[in-house]
Amino acid sequence: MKSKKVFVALLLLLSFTAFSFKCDSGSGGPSDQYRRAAKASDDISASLTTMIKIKRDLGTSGKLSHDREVALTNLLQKANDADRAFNNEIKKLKADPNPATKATLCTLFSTVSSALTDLNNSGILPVEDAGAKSKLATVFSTITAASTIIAGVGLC
Amino acid sequence: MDNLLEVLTKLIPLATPLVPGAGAAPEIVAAVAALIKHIKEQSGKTTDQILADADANLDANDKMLLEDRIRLGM
Repeated sequence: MKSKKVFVALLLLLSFTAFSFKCDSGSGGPSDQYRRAAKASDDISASLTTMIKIKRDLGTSGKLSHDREVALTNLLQKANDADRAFNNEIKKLKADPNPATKATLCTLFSTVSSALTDLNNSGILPVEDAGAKSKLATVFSTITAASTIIAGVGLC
Repeated sequence: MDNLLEVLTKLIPLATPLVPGAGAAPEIVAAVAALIKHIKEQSGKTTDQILADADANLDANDKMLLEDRIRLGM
């Protein structure tokens, strides 16, 4: 029951984050979009670093089964590859995104989102050990927050 | 304040009770604190520097994942 309440609180928190992003600062210019996309990409990469370290700790301490760690490793690699493609495309811009580059970024962002969804559904949720799952889920919520920010940039 | 930073700050006290009886998770608190530090440092950087940081993180992630693949016999 308590974990359910905390989960609902986390969801509300993320919703408010997405909403407050749209009202943030008021500048909202395209170059602001570019910088925010870059920051979100960096935030996701840093969050993935954290999750890889936690996964490694859980795996080497026996709290994750071999098969589960293999699955998580593959899914984290997929998410890392997706974020790299997104980051590379942002680097190419060097200026405000035009409609064509926005469409490309939107597609790449969808790939990042899809990889993160797979990471949660196929990697974290099936983890048997409750404590291990809790730790991974907590870090995953930070990745979700970063991807919510990308969604708020208005690329899609 | 950066929105993600705000989320992370609020996550710290939530890190422990996600699963009843799971016990304290100091490594999660430390991990979230490290992320907060990382995000705070972004504010003094140019966008190019932020993108370069992301590249460095992604490279480090690839390296760690490769090490894990070897350890796991993948």
